[in-house]
Amino acid sequence: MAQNIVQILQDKGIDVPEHHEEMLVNQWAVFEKMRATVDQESLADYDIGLTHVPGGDGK
Amino acid sequence: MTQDLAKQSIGELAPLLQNKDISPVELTAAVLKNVDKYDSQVNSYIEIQAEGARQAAKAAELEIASGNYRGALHGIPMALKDIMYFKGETATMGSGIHRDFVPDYDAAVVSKLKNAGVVFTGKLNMHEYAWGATTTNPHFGACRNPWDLNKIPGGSSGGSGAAVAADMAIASLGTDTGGSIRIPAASCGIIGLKPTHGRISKYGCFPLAWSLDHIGPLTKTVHDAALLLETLSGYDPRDPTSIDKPAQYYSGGLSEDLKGKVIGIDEDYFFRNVDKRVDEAVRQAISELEKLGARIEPIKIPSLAQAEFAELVTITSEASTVHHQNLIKHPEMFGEDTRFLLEFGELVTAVDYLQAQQIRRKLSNEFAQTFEHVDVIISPTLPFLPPLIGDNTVDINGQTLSFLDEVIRFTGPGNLTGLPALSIPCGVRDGLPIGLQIMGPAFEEEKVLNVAYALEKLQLMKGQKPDLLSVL
Repeated sequence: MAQNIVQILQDKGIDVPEHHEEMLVNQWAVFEKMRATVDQESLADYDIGLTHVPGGDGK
Repeated sequence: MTQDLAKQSIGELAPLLQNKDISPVELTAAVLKNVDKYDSQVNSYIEIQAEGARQAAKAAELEIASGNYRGALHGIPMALKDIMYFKGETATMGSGIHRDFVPDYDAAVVSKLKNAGVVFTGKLNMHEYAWGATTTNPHFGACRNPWDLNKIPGGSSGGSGAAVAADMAIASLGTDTGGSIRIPAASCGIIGLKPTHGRISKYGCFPLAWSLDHIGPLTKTVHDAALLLETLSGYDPRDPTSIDKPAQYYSGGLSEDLKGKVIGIDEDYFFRNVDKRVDEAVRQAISELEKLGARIEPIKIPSLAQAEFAELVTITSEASTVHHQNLIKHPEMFGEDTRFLLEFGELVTAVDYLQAQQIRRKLSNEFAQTFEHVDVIISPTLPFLPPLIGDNTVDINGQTLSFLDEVIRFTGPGNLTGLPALSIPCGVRDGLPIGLQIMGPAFEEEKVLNVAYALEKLQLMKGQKPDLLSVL
């Protein structure tokens, strides 16, 4: 997992200090627990009106 | 007398200034004297602008003497978090990268305060780029809590909280993306108000996360918070998140009458896993409000169960977007914790981000439904008391938990929904203040302010303030 995380960041051109690797893995585990609280089914097609403003700001 | 002036609120000082019973010059001198005396230990200022403040105070004195009194903020010494731009002055954002950045325009809030005649005493310490809640700043030094210099003042607006609590500014402004006004307010025993998203323009304020960022006051009294809110509110087309809703004369409309008011309590979310000292103080305050005629109604907001995910995803994704280029080009210039969080934000997926926005919409709708039958929702501001500087963990009733995971648990929903939320001190336990959070319906800050005003009248703090003389 640590290698995957480091690889994802390196592919973006981000240099990860060695001592961050374990910290990132641990925080990712916390994040995955939080992600498990998401009610995926109720969100699936829930429309949040994500849009772009035609004509730009102030239109 | 001179030093006592710095202890007073805007509400107390304004009539004295207007009637020329005191001068902005002596008031500013009193504030600067405290800065000189205490800030070498507290470290709430990044930059002290003593000479500029004295000159501005003199100008205000002359203006008031000549009959041009501008209003309640005229001649009041304030210092702002060093993330709001002053034309031609350095704005560091508490960072190494922006250490020498000089904006060429004033932030909207700075323009408004300048027009109101505020005297600026300097720029206040903060968590680097506002991305954290300790204000243990690697570039400008750790800011310390005036109640206990070994403890954090909270953050990210920690300098604002500490300076106001220690009478080194009469009032301040902070920014709040996950709780960064309310957390230092709670930790330092003062008032912190995060208004509705869009109420105060963020033009000229460096972003942490656009959709969650707010600007708001940190003050000694509820009245002062109301006064600053009405001064700073208003539509600004230069801020894409600004909303055109009329502000009110909040300070003049404050009422402590709670008869018939309904206070919502969500036990499952806002009272789960709370330090027993915090829990006890907040419940005691709620019971006092009940005695004043408020009715308590249990509520349940189901999507709060997903709020921590939504807050973490939104704040990390947006912050990592803001700093993406610098994380690639100058990673070594970030402090350790900021760099780590920025790296983490690069791992979150687009699906995570959009699901977080779906949760936000659901959460906003559930809060709106709840506010159809309650006036405000009350909770603790923080689930713990301020930890030691340098600690990454907090103790909650014997459990050791991650500071990062716990710190915005109760404040984050206010950012996700954009609803107004205020922290007010409700007691002192083991020498540290405890904050109570009041949330209200969108653009109805007066409901939040009125409940806070009633609570303030109960004097639950019993006049206790940090005693810096005894700890220095």
